[in-house]
Amino acid sequence: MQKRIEQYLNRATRGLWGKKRQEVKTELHSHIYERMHYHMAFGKSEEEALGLALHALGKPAEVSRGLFKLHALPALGKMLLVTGLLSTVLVTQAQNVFQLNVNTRTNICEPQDRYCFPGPQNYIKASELMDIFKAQGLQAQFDRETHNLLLDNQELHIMEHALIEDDNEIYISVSNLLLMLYVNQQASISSMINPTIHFKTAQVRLDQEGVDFNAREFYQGILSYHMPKFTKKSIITYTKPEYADFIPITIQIPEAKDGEVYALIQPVVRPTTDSNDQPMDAVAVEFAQSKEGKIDLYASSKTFKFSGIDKVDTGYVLLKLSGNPQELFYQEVFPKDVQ
Amino acid sequence: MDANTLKGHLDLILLATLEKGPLYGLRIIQEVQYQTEGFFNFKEGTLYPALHRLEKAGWIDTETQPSPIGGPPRKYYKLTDAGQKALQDKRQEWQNFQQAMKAFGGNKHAKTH
Repeated sequence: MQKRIEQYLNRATRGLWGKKRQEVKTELHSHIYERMHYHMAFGKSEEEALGLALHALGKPAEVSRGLFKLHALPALGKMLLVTGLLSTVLVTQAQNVFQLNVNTRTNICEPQDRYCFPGPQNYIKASELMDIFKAQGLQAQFDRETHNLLLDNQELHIMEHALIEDDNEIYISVSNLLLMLYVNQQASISSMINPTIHFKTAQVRLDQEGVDFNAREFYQGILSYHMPKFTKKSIITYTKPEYADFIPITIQIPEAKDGEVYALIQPVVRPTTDSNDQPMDAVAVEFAQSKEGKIDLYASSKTFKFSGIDKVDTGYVLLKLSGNPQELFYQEVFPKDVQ
Repeated sequence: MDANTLKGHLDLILLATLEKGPLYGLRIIQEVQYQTEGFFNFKEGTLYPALHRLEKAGWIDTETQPSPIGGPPRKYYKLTDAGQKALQDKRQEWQNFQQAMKAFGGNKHAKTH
């Protein structure tokens, strides 16, 4: 029964996001609960009372249409105006971008489970992802038995270690999903902060309850997937305390559009070891998203020259990355202005 | 009842219902149905976008309180000073409208003169 309520609430609030969506869900849930209580006081069973309550509320699509017009369209309108799009494009564009919430969950791993990543990981709810694709007119289905995701007749297998089940809901690891969509050439991804999945005519923007969601792991995945063609070295990212040795730099790229993703690959600054404490031959990589023609990164030196990707083993290489599998994954960039 | 009839007067109906005191969604619906003897019998889900629109306009304010019967908290809506003023304006509009409509059938003798 709880699932039926949750399904209704998800559909009725489709297109809203973050705090507003949660508020509206709570209000509608309260309405359903109170209506059920009323009918049960007149002798109806719980199931009958729920049926009557949902019928009285009306079709979820009708409810969501009214709420979407009021809450989501103005917000999307503002966002798109900032990017300078013509006002005539607003409505079509706004109706096509849907928001999907990312949940952070902390994994506790069994020592023998080599695929399990301990600590906080990001997941999306499989049912919400399906709802959003369906709302955009595409067929979408997730098979709990086979772990196959069927999107408009294209099948994508999600590996077991990328799934968790909680309260009868299936959650899919975001990094894994994005990378699988990319590797199987089924969808393209744009931006790193609150990225958007582009699948056929559908667009889904990932967001973390109003907090920025950073898809750095996905872009690291793209690099790790392609880089063996250019270097035998492993790719590592530094954790925050390790940046203490690094210098913050701002690179000016005037032609960069907001939301483009860049990777700075540079030599490691200290001997690196793997999880078994064995020495590791690696290069370090850092990711940034452009804003107003600038990207902020950390470098081990302030005086360096950018090399091409053929010198990735020893030099400093700046790449503009593409999350579109139909394009080359990188473009070399040689900016002159580094501060 | 024609949906357009409701749409044209929904603001007046909701503001007038809240004039007596704060109410939450379901109670607002029950109150409207009781006062109009079931004439305004609409899909309950359409109420919320209307309430949220009035809230955005600054005509009503909200307060969340725990539900005495358990379950999720109730969101109470209450009229603001600006809402009280809007209600007066809408009542006046309605009276003017009624007056104007008399010429088109509201007054039985209108056609014969």
